[in-house]
Amino acid sequence: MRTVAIIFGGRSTEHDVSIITAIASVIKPLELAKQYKVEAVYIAKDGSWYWDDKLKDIQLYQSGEIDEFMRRAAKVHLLFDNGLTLVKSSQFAGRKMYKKIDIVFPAMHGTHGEDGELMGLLEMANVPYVGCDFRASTVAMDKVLAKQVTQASGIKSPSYIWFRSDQLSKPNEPLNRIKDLKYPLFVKPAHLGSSIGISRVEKESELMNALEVAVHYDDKVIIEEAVPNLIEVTLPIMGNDELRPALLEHPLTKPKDFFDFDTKYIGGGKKGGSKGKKGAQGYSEIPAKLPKELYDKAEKTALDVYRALGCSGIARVDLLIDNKAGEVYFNEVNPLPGGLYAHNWRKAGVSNVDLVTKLVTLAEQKWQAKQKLTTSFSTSYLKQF
Amino acid sequence: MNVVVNGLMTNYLKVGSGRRVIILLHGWGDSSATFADFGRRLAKNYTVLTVDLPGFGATQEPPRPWGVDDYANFVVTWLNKIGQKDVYALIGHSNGGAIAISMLGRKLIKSKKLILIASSGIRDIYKMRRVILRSGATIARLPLKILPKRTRNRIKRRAYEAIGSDYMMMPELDASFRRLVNQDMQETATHIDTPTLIIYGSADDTTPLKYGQLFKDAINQSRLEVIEGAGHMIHQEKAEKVAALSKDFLNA
Amino acid sequence: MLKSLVYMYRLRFAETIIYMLQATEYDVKAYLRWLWRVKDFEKVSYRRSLIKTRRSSMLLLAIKLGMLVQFAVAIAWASLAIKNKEPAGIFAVDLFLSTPLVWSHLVVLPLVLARWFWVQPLNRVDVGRSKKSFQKHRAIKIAVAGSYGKTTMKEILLVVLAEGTKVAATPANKNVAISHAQFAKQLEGDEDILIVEFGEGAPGDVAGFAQTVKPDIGIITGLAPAHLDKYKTLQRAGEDIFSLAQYLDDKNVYVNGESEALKSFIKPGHQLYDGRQAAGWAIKAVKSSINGLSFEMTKDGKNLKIKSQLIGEHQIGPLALAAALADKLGLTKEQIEKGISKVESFEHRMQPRQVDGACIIDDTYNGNIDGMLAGLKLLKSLPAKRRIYVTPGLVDQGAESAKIHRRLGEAIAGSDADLVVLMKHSVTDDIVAGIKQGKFKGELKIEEDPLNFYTNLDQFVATGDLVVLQNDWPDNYN
Repeated sequence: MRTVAIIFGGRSTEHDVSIITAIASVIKPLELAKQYKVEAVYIAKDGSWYWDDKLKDIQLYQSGEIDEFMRRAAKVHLLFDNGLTLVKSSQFAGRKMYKKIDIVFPAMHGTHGEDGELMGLLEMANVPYVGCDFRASTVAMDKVLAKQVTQASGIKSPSYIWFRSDQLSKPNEPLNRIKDLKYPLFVKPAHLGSSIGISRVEKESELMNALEVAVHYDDKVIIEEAVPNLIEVTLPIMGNDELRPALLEHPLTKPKDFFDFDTKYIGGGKKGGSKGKKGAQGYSEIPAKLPKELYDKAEKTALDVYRALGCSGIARVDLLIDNKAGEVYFNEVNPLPGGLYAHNWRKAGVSNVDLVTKLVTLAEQKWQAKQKLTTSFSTSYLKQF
Repeated sequence: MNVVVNGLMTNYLKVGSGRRVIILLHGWGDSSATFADFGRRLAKNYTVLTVDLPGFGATQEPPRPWGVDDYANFVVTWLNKIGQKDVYALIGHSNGGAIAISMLGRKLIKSKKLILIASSGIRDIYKMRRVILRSGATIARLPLKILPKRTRNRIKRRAYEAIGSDYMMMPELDASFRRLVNQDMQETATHIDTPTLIIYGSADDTTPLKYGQLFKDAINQSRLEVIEGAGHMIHQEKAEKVAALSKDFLNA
Repeated sequence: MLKSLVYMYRLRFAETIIYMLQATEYDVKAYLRWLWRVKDFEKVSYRRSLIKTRRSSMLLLAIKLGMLVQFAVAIAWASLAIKNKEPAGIFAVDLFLSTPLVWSHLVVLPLVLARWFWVQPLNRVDVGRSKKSFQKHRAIKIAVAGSYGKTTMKEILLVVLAEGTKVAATPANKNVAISHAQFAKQLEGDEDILIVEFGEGAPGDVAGFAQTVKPDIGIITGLAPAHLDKYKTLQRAGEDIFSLAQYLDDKNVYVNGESEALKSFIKPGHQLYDGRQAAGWAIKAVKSSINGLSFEMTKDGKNLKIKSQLIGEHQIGPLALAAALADKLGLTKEQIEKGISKVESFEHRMQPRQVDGACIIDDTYNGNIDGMLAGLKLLKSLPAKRRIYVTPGLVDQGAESAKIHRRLGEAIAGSDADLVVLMKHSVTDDIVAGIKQGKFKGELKIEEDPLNFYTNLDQFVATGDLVVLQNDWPDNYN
């Protein structure tokens, strides 16, 4: 039986969401599928790696016993042996335990994981891994880059400008450029994988505060126009060459900023603090009730985005729809949607078990296709030297 | 909504419409969510602003342990930052009450009305008990070190509850907490010349009714309302009653 | 291996023993057979565990004490022997090791004694009394017999007849002489109709029940291999069930026309009920869906419009018969139609439920081949994005087992299932052989951990799936 390692946690504001994704949406169904040996690899908030069967139990994190566990447990070494092997010292006289990993299932959200860093490492190890490769992940997790790449493929985005946080020390230049945009505006950190740090700005006097919030989190900031008559939708997609869309989902909770007391504290807002994505589950419309034409247009746009960014395995594309104008805009891409968006896939007829096994299969297929490419060949260069 | 105040990412909420603006300040270990019900009732007639104080809810922790005055300064800076100049009323629950007293007693801000709900800030009546417990705690802390962190925190929390101040502990903020329990607001309160409504529950054992009577004596234009049988989280337990009392007072 | 051996020397072993007794309803033979079959006692009470009753607690205490005493004696003996350098002390080891063996058998003794000298004589008195009270009772008595389908038939009748008469029925699965006697004791005397379930267990049982209860109407619901340890052949089981018809002189006897095995026993006086007719009523306009059944029945210008929540066309026969009998017993058209509509699906018998947009049909109490075939037919007939069929197969099928399971396998192959999950068991290979023979095109999965599968069913299904679960294996067949 081949071994799948699930890597989760990480140095990200979405550390905790990642734990839930890994344990509830990946490890559990993957173990039930009984086709693979499943190993849990946990990256702590300080960046240390741990590998242990105990890490598969959500109780460990909920009870806080994880601190105790980390104090005692041996950290993991990674061995690159044209593949990936996990190494840790066992408690018996320092003997080393080795575990060859056949496939990696990254279940990380946000920075230092979803953004391509982990995928780069796995690419170096030449081990198959689930989801977008490091190139697509890096582009997808940069809201500015993602817009630039998709625009080059003819996909529309709301008008925007961007700048680096150090440019804010001389704010006149960026502020002047913002004058070309129509209020209301959204100010967002460019790299964060969730709704953290996003502000809606109605008028110029509110702008500086919003910029300050964004640069508090990120060194790159994007300011974009709000879409009028807005319907937000999101579409999970899987596949490498042949794409399979799930169902267009219309989250019914309002965006984080505009809560009244009800939505913030009584509705889904409790969970949504860090990840509106997951909290939206119970409050979304699947499939989104859109006129057929608009639905199809949105689905096509999402698939175009997926291809333009070079996504593979799985990703979720967020779109903004101007309901009156019938216009579809690209918003952003999540290379690893929270909980894999399993609730949506289930509605689309894909069970949790099928979802994870399909993703693992896709990872293997992608890796096999890549092996056919020639990346090294012998030269006489050394001899001639 | 988020705004950066003194370098701290601060989460606040603005609800309702209405010319008059009311600021709600939550207690120790609590967050602005505590006012979900109470705030909604007021938002029908007023604009309600509430903030997660540093270290609570979705606001960053302060860089060093803060006392009541530090928190009061923070609230003032926050209001300036979001451009809120006129404040009609300040309402503070528990430690939020102490912060409101600090703001008005030190004349950091002008407000037409003040409501103290189960406010803390009286530190002397249980002084003996606290001194004994605290010195006990210092001695007890030495053997505690060998216990696992979780057990240690649980015991600590119990101990702090026994010392008697606010509702719950935030382990990471316990230095701030110790500063707070040492601070008495009675003297500051005597400088307040804002009409003040003081509401306490008769069954409150965190901030007992006695505190309310002391504040009533300290603040010139003040009135004390006692809600029979209510405990410390009076604005949640008796939201309707507390809101009704508050509205009458605010409208007058 | 070692771990399971060690388990036998822990006091928890006592609980396992008592649990096994309880699960076999203190049937000594069944218990012993199970005991000798178990390889790993640690896994026995994996799915369910001991329920505390006075009897089980007393037995548990006794066996625990017994084990402790034997352990203690063995250890004392051994230490004495070592001290005195006595070679015979080696037998202390035997004494120690034999503890679980001894007590797992010794525990039967009080049960056997109590049965012989206390329970059985008492029962005989009760049954004798019940004979008189059944005879005196003015009600029309309906007996329901058969190796499956009894409880469903009885429940349908109970609900429908209650619309216009005062009716009482034996409680669920209480279908032997002593339970009939208890039922007789609780009667109020003014009932119009009594429904009594006849459980067959050994040759002569049904005939005996008929003599006691003296039924006026007999219903025979089906015949399938069950209790073959006592009956030896299906023929003899059928003969026993049909002694009910004999008692009634083959009058007022209603026989399920859809049970293959019954056919050879049917005599001209018997009336049949099935999907097309019931006691002279013609059935037409059948509609079957996930929400239930509807059909019309007509006889001599009378017409009934039946709408039921029950699922599966195999329920048409029993429903129609209940309606026909209700008509015969004087209920109005309105009463009958209302009564039928009130019949709810029985727990674990074609009971539908929704999981995340998937429709699960729980038929885990089904335990006979006719029921399995009905379930597969249902799976095929209902609309679905994906069809999933889950079963461990059947138990207690005697010599016919391999043949029956091949047949089941072929039926599975013909059911258009996209995914078949078989709970691993000794009959799995036979089912698989049948599935292969039937040229099954879907995906086949063998699951070794049924509990895990059932509790995580939500992880395996998605919207649009139709899942039929049939015959969950009770763990005393592990």
